[in-house]
Amino acid sequence: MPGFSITLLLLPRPDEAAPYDATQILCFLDDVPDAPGWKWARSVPPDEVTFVSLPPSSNIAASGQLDRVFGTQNREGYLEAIRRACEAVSKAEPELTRMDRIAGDGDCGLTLMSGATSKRLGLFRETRAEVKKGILKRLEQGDITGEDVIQDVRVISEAINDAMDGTSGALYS
Amino acid sequence: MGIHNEPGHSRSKLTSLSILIPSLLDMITRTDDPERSFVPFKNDGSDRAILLVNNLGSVSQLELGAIVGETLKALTVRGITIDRAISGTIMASTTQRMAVYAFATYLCVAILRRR
Repeated sequence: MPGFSITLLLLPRPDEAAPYDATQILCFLDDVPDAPGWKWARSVPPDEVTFVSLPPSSNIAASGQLDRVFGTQNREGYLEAIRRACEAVSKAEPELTRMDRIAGDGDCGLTLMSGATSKRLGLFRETRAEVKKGILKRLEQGDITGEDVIQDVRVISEAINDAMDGTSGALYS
Repeated sequence: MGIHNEPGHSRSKLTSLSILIPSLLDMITRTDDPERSFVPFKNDGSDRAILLVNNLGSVSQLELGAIVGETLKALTVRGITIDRAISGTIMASTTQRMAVYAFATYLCVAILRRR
């Protein structure tokens, strides 16, 4: 069940008539139990909580409050550059995968290729296959236009998030 | 708590922890309701307490950590000294009542045997 509960056990004061005093109660709690469901807790008071407040974000594009639109001067060249980048990533797949097999877990090239092109998921290809749309697919669909570069970056980020798995997918998106 | 699907004290829209936690602590520490205020908090900076934050089952560790942090912060603001903070899935609940009872009983038996 999603949710939490907060419980406070008020410790007896030194002048209070109670079956156990505060020191004894703490001593009971600090005892090491063998109940498997009980989580280990530090037998010292919690550290002082300090909250660092971040300065207000200067990323106005992310907040959607941008009042200007940045277009491209050479739309055809811009779209062609994205297309070629995707194709170059696909072409480099065997080499990237080979290097990752030596230095990592061997999926780097495949992961990048999924982000660039598209990925078909599903154990039973005929029945439950689901196509995760990569950057190239979004380009073909006309989602990347060159009319608003920031919007295009958002679409690319979305495509990467959809189609790439692994750590790199999360990092790049 | 509403662990057996009881309607609970009130319903509200999901809000941020910094608003939710102080309102929950108010209900625990206020002493102006004779039918409910049976724990003698003094709320004068001299109270010492042990904090237990229980996960009802499906809150992530990351979120539970945030809840503990926010609760400790709110308690510091109130001047309640916390001598121990315990958090974890101590008493969980699913939507099936029998499962809840089974789990609670098991925990009690385990603790009683230890004592």
